[in-house]
Amino acid sequence: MILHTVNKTEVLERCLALVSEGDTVLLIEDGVYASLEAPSTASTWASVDPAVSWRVLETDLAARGISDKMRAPFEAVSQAQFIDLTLAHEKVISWG
Amino acid sequence: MKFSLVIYGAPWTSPSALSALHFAESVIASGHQIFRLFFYQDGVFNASLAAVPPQDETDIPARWETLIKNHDLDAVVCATSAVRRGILDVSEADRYDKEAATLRYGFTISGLGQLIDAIQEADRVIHFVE
Amino acid sequence: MDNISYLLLVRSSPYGSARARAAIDIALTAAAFEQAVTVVFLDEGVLQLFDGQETDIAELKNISQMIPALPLYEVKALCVHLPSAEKFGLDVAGLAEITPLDDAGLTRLTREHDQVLVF
Repeated sequence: MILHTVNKTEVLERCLALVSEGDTVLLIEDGVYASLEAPSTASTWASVDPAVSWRVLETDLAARGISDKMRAPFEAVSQAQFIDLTLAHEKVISWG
Repeated sequence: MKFSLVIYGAPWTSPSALSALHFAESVIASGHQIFRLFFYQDGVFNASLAAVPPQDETDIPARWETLIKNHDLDAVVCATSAVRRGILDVSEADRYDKEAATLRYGFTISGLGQLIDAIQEADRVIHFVE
Repeated sequence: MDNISYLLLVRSSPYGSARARAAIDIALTAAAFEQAVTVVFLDEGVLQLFDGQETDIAELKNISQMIPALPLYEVKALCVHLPSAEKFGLDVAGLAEITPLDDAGLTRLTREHDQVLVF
């Protein structure tokens, strides 16, 4: 099981092509915009793999004023939970 | 658990520098250890002695220095990345006949092999890419 | 030193950023420390494989010349992602010592390697 961090929306597609069951995708920095409940992200999330966990770093969401605009199935996580996620997966791939 | 963090982005220009700093501070606060901080490419600017940010902005290099000193962390700056960007320790400034050393206290300049070693020794490696 | 396997996913064009160069430096260093290294050129990274890069007048350091040298320094596992190559019109037939890779192969490599670095 792999933890993928994604720090910009442009690389998300490449990440999603390589994600498997049991992985977690964590959006950070400007990557959090990919979780916007808006037409900008509709096609990306038209079908969501239920076997993957979708997370967003809450401080980066808040900084960008979109804490209340996060779409399902994303869940916001804290810095401490970010650390826990790294330990709960065998490795971290940082997409950027 | 032991973490190695690799920092590729410059402070203020890239959000990744602050992401790395916050993560590093949380690792320590959570009771885990940092085996090594490795600063690479533009990440070497986090080790700048001469950087003077505006007073109302986070002094990222100073925060790194504090974290490194308070917890006796191993903070390595990649030599080839550093030299071409003007981040020089005393001996390099001397060798290249430059007027001043610009490497912040607490950081050491070393080779890319230290990155391989950092990856080898840690339980988890996080790359904070630009 | 125990063996840690490295997969370097090179997605960057040769002269748009320093990332291409960084990937090569890390590949060489890891190999020098006898770690297993695989390099995959994918997305815009396949642009590094166009031949005839004449960098003299542009005064750029020629990245493409470093790639054929990689096997000499024990970085022998070089791959090119076929769909990316097709997208950019790169003919992989002429690429010596670089193995074509499909999507399934790419996914497999990312699962198998201990460290996956993205450039």
